[in-house]
Amino acid sequence: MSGEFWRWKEAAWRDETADVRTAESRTLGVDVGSVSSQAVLLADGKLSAYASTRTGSSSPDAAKKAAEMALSGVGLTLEDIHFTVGTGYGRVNVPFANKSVTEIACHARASHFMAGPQVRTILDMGGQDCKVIRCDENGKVVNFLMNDKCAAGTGRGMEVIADLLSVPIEEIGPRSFEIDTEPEPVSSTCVVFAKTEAMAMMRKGASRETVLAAYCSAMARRVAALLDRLDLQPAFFITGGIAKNIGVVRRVEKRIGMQALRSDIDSQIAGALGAALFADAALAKKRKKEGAK
Amino acid sequence: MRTAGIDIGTRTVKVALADEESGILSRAWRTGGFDPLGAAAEALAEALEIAKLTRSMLDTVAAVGEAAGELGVDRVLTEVGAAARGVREHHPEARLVVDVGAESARAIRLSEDGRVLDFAMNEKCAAGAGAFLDSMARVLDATVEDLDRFAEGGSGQVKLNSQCVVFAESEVVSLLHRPTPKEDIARAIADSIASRTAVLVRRVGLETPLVVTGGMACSRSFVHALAKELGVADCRASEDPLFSGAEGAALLALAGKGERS
Repeated sequence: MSGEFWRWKEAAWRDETADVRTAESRTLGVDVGSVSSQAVLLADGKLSAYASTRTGSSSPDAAKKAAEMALSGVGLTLEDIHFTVGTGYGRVNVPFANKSVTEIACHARASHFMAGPQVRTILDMGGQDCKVIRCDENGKVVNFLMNDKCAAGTGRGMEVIADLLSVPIEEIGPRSFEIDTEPEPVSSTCVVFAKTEAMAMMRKGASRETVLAAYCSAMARRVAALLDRLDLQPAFFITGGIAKNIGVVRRVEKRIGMQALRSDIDSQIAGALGAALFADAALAKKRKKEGAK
Repeated sequence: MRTAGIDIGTRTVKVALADEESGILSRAWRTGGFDPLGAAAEALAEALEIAKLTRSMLDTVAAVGEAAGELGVDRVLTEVGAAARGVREHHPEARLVVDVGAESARAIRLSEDGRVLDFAMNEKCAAGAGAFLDSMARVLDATVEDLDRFAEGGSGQVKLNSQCVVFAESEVVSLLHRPTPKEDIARAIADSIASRTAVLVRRVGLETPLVVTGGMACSRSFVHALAKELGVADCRASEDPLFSGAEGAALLALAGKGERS
């Protein structure tokens, strides 16, 4: 494969002010997704470090790699962690996890933490699926819908387009607005068809930016249809890797007539963050039980 | 009377010349890519050269395919009609034509005398078309012929969970790493495409003899898998399957069929 324009940056972050060594509780959430894997460290319930990496072909290896990336930045190892929760498509493949929780529950929990208790509708645009989650004021899941059959409207679909047009995936969103008029969306049902339509557009002289706009617009149309099926309630929040693609986000907002809440926290770690929050709660419960004995 | 039929597919452009006396005179094809109209002109020039003719000696040029209207030809025909006519030229007994190209898949049911009774096609998804096989061949670093050879030794125990071309690529990669024998993977790929195509066949109603045409007819493992999926013995690949559409277009033009454009 040439160019590798799809290759988004693997990342590690830590809170330089946090003193994780003296914290009473250190919990870890690990989200093994179909495309990317993340690990999030909470120290006394505060977000202290995280890492994001590609899953590759082995889920246990990806889980371990993400955890080590997150922990090594703050000088910890897995042995320093009091409780770990695994989530995501490969959640049963986190060998060092104490328990596993579905990614739907984790995204709802994390959205509550990231954007506040007013969140009711969550759109999670992941690597290989797209989910719409309804939650209550406590961040508990009430209902959800998902598409995991078709790559249109997922991160993998966006990676295919990045490669086709030789545009780095991080630039797709901003560049999709460098156009005079918004084009008609390409096929929103199949990445293969959309790819052929994109080629036909280029052949007729459309700029890369116009094709990107047509593709982002198709993706927005597809996820908006999913949102419509779950009766959209405010406030609205977006998680997952594609939440970083402003070209899709703005077009979704326009289609549904509602702005998404913003958060300073990286949207791609939502699953792992939710898992870490569940780990924190489970640890508190466990300690309370042990203390009562 | 002498005619040319041009079939503009999503990946390749095919041309066939025909006259009333000898039927098909010559054939040529080119990769379409970014310039299908240029490819059509080149393929037509080659087909003319093979038949020792010049463009001015053709009475009618007919075309089928997505960009057929942009070619400036005399007549535009439907892909369904052309594929059916092309197959019947070599297989006059055919009652069901399964035409699977790079991105399109069609099941066409015919009357005894070759009229199109009903057809169904993939509209939303490329999973039952050649693009699926292409993608998997790339992931496995194999040719379509390699895959056919591998599939013969496949146990049939492995199934692909993903329907989507894009997702199936990742699934095949993880199968390879597991590791799964490539024979089983190749078999699973053929089975997966066939199960999608079979849906179209069932929609128009199963009929035999069944003839498979289009680029996918070159995949022996696909034709086998389709016969097995449908439970029919009389299922074969068409003669010169790449050219059914182009030949059909040339032959229909000979009969004066098609919309003047």
